[in-house]
Amino acid sequence: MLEPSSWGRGTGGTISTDDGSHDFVDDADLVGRVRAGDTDAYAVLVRRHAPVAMRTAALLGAGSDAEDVVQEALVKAYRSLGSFRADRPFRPWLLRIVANETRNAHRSAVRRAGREAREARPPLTDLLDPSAEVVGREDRERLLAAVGRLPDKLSHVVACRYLLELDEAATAVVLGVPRGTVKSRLSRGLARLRDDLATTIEEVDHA
Amino acid sequence: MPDALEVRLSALAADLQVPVPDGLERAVMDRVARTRPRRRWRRWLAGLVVGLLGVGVVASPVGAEIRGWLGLPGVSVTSGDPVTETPTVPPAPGTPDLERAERLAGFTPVVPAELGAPDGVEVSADRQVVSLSWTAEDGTVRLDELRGDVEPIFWKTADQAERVLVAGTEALWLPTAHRVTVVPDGGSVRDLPSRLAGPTLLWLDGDLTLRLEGDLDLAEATQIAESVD
Repeated sequence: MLEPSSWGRGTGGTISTDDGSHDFVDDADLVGRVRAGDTDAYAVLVRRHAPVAMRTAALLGAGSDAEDVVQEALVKAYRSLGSFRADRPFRPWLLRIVANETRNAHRSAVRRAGREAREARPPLTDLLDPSAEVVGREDRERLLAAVGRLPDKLSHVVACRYLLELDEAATAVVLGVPRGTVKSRLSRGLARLRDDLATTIEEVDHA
Repeated sequence: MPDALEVRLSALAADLQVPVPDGLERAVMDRVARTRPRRRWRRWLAGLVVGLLGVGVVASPVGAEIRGWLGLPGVSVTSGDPVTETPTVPPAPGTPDLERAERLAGFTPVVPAELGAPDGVEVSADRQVVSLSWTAEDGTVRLDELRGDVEPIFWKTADQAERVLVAGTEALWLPTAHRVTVVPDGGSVRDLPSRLAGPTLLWLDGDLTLRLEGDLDLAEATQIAESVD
């Protein structure tokens, strides 16, 4: 799991796997070092943000392309560091590149393979930790499956807010939509989830 | 106040497992080590603008190099004189039939939500470029789309070029009027008349290279580009 302290701007230096010399260095400083020519500092950023980048790609539908998508996004982010505004948080900026790469990979796959590619996306329930508590597992699977059944636009906002634990402002950056759109999609998404879950529970009751 | 559903969703975050593949960091750092740093490119381009002033449209390897590095297939940018005349953006003359365009070109043209349905749709004679246009009282906005697996079709000679981000992806912004030459399949850049183009944003969307031209500033162009979905 990601440490909550690594989410906010300027507080991202507490993951213990960092090299000693870069421990407790915040993202903005690391970006500064990379810009000054210290390529190793970029490795620290990669290590720090790769877990959430993988999670973002998987939740936004990259499926088996998640690794390629994240690799591509991390290389593009490096090349684009010159245009990154250092007074903004790094993580949402990076995740936006990941989200965009995910969309591109998906679109290219659909172009190549036709509409079946859309169907071939693995279900979100594949992402559940197999070693997690058994108690309530069915419940969690049902919830995650319901998130996966939402239209992409709604499921992406729900995934960013709750499963990636991003706030509204960061969600807006990552998905490239205005904050008002995040709010409205979120309330529509939650409403549909409630309806969907109510229906599935009813069906189970009747069975 | 979060309700029960929101609490359950938040709790779900802890139960997801998406491992980071072993070789990811190494693969990224290997590629990063081979990447040309941005600072050098800037200085180099600045030198070129001075060095090539007055040369005009040339099919130089310099253009190919910038193209390769920017990763904008189908587009080549060389530096050249600032242009003082005012360009007129040509509308796409065809009927707005996107399905026909898709059949001819072999790919699905993207339409920015910000602009809505186009007034004109045109497929180039060699079927490699689909052009959409929107014409209003204050002028025309034009979007050219081509698949990235083709050789350069657009040769652009500009006095200014700025790297920007569109939805997190590298893009190129040509803020001033510049010369653009469209090279058909097998054609040579030297045989063709160039036309004067307005401010242009170039970016990639999946395997498509997109070229948006109109009387736009960067914020407007980016907003349109990011509404492609």
